Amino acid sequence: MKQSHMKEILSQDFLSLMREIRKARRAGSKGKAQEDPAALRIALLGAGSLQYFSAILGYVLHMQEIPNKIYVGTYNGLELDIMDEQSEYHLFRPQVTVIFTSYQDVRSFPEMFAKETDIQALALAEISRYKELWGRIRERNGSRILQTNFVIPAERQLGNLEASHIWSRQSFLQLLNYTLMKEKDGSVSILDFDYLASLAGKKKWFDFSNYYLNKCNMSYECLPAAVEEVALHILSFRGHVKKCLVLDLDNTLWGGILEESGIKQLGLFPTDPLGEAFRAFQAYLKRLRERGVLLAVCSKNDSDYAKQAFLENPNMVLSLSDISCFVANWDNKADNIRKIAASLNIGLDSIVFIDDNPVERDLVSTALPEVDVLELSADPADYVMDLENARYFEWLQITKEDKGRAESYKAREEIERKLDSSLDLDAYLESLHMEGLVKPLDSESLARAVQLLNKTNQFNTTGFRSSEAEILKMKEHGYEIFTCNLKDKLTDYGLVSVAILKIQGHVCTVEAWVMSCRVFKRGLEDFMLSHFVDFALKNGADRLAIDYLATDRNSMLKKMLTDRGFEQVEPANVDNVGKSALSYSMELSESSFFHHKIQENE
Amino acid sequence: MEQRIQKVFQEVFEDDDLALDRSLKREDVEEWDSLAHIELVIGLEKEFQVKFSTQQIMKMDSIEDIIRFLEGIERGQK
Repeated sequence: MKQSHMKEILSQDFLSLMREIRKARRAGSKGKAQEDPAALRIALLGAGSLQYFSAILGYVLHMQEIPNKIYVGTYNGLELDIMDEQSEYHLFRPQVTVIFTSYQDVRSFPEMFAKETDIQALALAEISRYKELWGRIRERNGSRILQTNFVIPAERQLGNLEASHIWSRQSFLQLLNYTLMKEKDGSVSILDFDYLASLAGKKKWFDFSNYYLNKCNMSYECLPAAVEEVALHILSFRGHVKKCLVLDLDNTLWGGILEESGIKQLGLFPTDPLGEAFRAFQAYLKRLRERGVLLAVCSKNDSDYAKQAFLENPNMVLSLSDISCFVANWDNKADNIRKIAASLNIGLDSIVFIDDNPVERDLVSTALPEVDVLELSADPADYVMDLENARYFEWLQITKEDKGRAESYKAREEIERKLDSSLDLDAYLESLHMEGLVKPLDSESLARAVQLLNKTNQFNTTGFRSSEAEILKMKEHGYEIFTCNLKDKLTDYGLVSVAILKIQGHVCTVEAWVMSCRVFKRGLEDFMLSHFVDFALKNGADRLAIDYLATDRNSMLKKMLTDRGFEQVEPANVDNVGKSALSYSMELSESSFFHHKIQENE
Repeated sequence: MEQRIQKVFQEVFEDDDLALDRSLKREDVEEWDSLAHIELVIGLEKEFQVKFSTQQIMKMDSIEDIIRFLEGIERGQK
């Protein structure tokens, strides 16, 4: 189900939404999910009455094909639930814990005219309460933590002067939010509820009657938006992420039609209101690309002329190098989008299509149901907010690898081209001067490793998903976790693969292995397999087994393994996945060898 | 007015055959729990375009109460 469908569901009024949910419940669809052992376990803790939140969240996640089970915490019992080892919360073994906070929870505010140092100390003390809770959660269940920041209230002791004094209540709440940001560790994601409340308008967000009666922090009108925030993060946690924007050109990136206006007269003049609007949209897209979103072009235009426009029009904000895949021809767009997905090696479900023409949007929407199609406003001035409100890129974390994503696609394109022309691929790979580095997981690589584990779908042997805390626990229990970094003469790809290995007797099993699709077909698989062999032999194993759980996305792996001489043996039981997987293994000897062109990075 | 109140109750309790009686009290209806109460309040506020106060919501325990509050608001608006 598309992400935009989730948004549609959540923009209904509260009562209609509840009616829809109850209808679905009666149809029995939710009941089955509760019994599913793979159901994601989510705990909602903190504030007061979260029953409605729970019902709506469970419903939308279910519609997004994430079976789930939700535990609603003790009324006003955040500490009780978390500190008590035997609490129902801990027995529930949550995989995601959502902590709702509100400014009414803050224990003390600074004195009037307090000094800055005292205020900072007070803020740290207030946040240390949460650090203790996070620590306890990390020890006990290692769940991913989502915590709301404080919504700054509308009431002001000092009136307008609240913004002029560091010791004011509002200033302190802002400092608390800042301190939260600084003090949180890798297992915590902050949910910016203050932003949500501002967006909705604090007049709409706060409903005091509701708070006093039901201890619900926000009005029922705003509840769906709050649910959406949590749902988006859980989708991200589960790897349901959008990775690429496919963009039309005429009247989407610039005003007018290129064929008719010519390159110099494209509607991008900074002195023209519409031109400014389109430039602002391009600037917004450029910033998205900077943080790791891929941009692709799909336009009905002459390819060379369209590329020339990027290069020659002086008012373009996006440059040709910002576009990871440029497709301009007269074929139908659905086919072109399929080609783009194949070229970038991403699933259709990670693509968002943006086109000003409703007919094109409709065609793509019908032909490619997995692609999300943005409902663009008629007015270009609204384009930025249209895309912003769709919230396609709510990732759990951002790393340096995200920043370099677009560059790495250039190298991939080169490789694809070499493969096509079936020239000497080996020679090309050799000319790339690739250097790989396999090493044990450490604190520096932890965030990126977990990000990779959770969002990779194609090169993912068992679909293993995890939180940072869970991974660290595995290390303690005898698992060896390797990361692999890759660089070549074009760029440094950073951390691109993670593998979880265990030695049991004479068998070394790779229980989970993921690799970024950016670095396929370069021999990295063989580079890493060589390292697995070394590790196995050094630890007394004479058999290397790779667990494999087939999904509709990772079928390439079966061939990858069998091509290299791995044979399917009896099914294995993979504890971490909870169901039986296949096992591909091979006998090892000192001469086990996998051919590749990657140097060791010393 | 009673017809409209009945409609709201029918929608919240999902029972098209539900017939309201002026004398009906909250304690008589098993499904009228605190969650249903929230939905009833929102439904009534929407249907009659009014906003009940916190006190009224707390003391809304019967159809009589609802009618009394609605008539009171109506009088106040005239």
